[in-house]
Amino acid sequence: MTAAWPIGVSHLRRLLRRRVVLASLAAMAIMASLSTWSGIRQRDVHEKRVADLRRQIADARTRQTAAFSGTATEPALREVRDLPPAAILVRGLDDRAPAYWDFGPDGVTPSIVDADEQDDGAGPIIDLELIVRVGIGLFACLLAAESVLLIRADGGLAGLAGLPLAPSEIWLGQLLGALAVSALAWLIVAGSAAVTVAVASPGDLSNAIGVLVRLTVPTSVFVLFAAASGAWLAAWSPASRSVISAALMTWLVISVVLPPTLVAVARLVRPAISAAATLGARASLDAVGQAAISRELGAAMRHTRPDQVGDDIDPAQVASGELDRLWTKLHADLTAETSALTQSLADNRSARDRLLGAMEFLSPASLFWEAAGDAAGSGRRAAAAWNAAIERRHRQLRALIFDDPPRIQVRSDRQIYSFERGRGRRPGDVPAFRIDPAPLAHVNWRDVAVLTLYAGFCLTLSAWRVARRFR
Amino acid sequence: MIDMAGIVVDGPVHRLLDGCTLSVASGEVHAVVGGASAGKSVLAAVLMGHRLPSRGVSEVAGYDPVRQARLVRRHATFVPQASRLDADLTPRQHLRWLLQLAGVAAAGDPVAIRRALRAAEIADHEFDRTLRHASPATAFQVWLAFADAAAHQAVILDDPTRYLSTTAARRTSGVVRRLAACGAAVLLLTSDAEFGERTADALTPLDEGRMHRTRSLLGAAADA
Repeated sequence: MTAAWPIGVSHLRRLLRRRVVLASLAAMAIMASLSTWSGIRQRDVHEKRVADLRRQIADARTRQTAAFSGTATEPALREVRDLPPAAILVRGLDDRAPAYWDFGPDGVTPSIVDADEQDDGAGPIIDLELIVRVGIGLFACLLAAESVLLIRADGGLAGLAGLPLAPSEIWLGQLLGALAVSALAWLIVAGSAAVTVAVASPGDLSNAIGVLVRLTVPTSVFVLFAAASGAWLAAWSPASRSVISAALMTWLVISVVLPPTLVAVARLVRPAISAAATLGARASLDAVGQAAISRELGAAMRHTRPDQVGDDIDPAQVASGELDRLWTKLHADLTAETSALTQSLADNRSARDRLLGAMEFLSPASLFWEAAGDAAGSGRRAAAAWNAAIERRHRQLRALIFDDPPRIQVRSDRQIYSFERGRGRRPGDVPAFRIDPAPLAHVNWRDVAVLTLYAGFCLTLSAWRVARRFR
Repeated sequence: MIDMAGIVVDGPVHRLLDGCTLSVASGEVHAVVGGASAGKSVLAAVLMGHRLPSRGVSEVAGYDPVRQARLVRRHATFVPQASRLDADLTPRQHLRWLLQLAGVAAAGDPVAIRRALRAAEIADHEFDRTLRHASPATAFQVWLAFADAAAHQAVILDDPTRYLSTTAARRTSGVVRRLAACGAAVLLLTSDAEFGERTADALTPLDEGRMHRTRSLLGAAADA
């Protein structure tokens, strides 16, 4: 195998002299710069919005009359989601994840996003993940297919066949050359992104470099898989033109069509309740609950004074605690009903996540998608970590505020009746809560290992075919 | 050095080589002349061990191409039909690279490389000029320099003048003869009858996979 190295170096030099290769590298560098610059701008917009939200929360909490009633969603308890620092490079699910969550007795209400979109992240966003998955992947696939084809199509390599070299050495050398150019493509893309960050947002540079280093792991394996699949196709086909077309089509199916298709299938199998429907259901439950409370309390008072619905409330009924018991029962019913809805939504979503997790093994591009999101801390697993933290926060608030309905105070002045909860909790009673998104980024070794298996499988088949085909 | 007897190669549709028998001794240039689809490239592939014959035996540089293909390639030079080399490399770089791939010690010896390039009649000022800017015959001459530097006992040329002008082809003729003079057995598979007659000691016509009677050209070569 010692000859593979000089063949690879020679092939690398030959490829780097080709205009189409140089133009592709330049195009990828430009796209990387533009996508990073766009990411920085989106992050700035998001941060402005987050700052506004935080200001509103601070205002709500410092107001003199501020107290949490615990009967409805409390904007003063709002938790704002910080943008993962690496979202400027890999958008992941970011612009489809909620920007904030509001807490109420019946559950957590996220800011308006479509829950169906949270899972797939499908959208025309160009980020480093897309550039690698489609751009560099296609580049590596076509380059490897063409390089292996040259074993018999190019005179130079036909000459090599007369040297005392095993066909697998020539194959490996050509593949190494193609891989080296593909690796160079990633270096150029990563370098362009880093330079853009250094120019447009110097404070993020060290963080961005950390993400790029983390991204290099899944990217390397994914590019290896892309090259291996191209080499495999080339080893099987007799004509160069058909191989290039086949490689192009195969790669588009693998990297562009398959990942959203798997998500669509998962959605078909496990249709999650959309966020809009959930919000609507909760609002309607709130309305129904409030109406029920009014009706029941009214009935209770009317029962006391059936002939006159007036402002006179039976003090005995208040004193006996009947209204309190009624309130507690209604509160418990409403909470149980809405908790069931929330639980069903969460169950459905986690079932879909499990299904997607299982199905992504069918698609190397989906695996890379996940791995890139994980490396940047803006993927589905990071979103799941956020959701889990928010659920924990809700349990905490439930124990503090929502699960302890205070006594009803009924008063009668000009209204027929009115009721309100007793002394609310002050903002100072609520412990601070904040999630740091940075630690959510990690290298997903499981996906990297599966991608490596895919690449190894294609490489083995290709090498076996070449060894059988050429003597 | 190059021997074959009764070589038959069956293709998917028809027979490609039909009972080819030939012997090329050390120091001899033997031309096999045939038109397109005569079977020249198939013959070269069989001799270099790239293709298995249906019948017949052959030996190149003392090794059996069927069972000892790697050894055949280690001791014989095969110059392919389209011997296109990297246009952006110089003859010196090419020769070093080919010798390195073939595992020949001369790859690290600049003196041996220079001597081989000169023996292949590449002018000194073309040593470091890329093939893009060199004459069309230079690529072919690099291969001949390789055969010389590697001191191979057998050289098989598959239609070497196909893409060369008459002038360039004439220029390489002497180099081929010089290789034979150094003791190599040279098998020239060519469609250029004139080049074959000018260069070879013996000529065998090949037509649709069948070899005709060998004609000695020793007198003509001497006259030339």
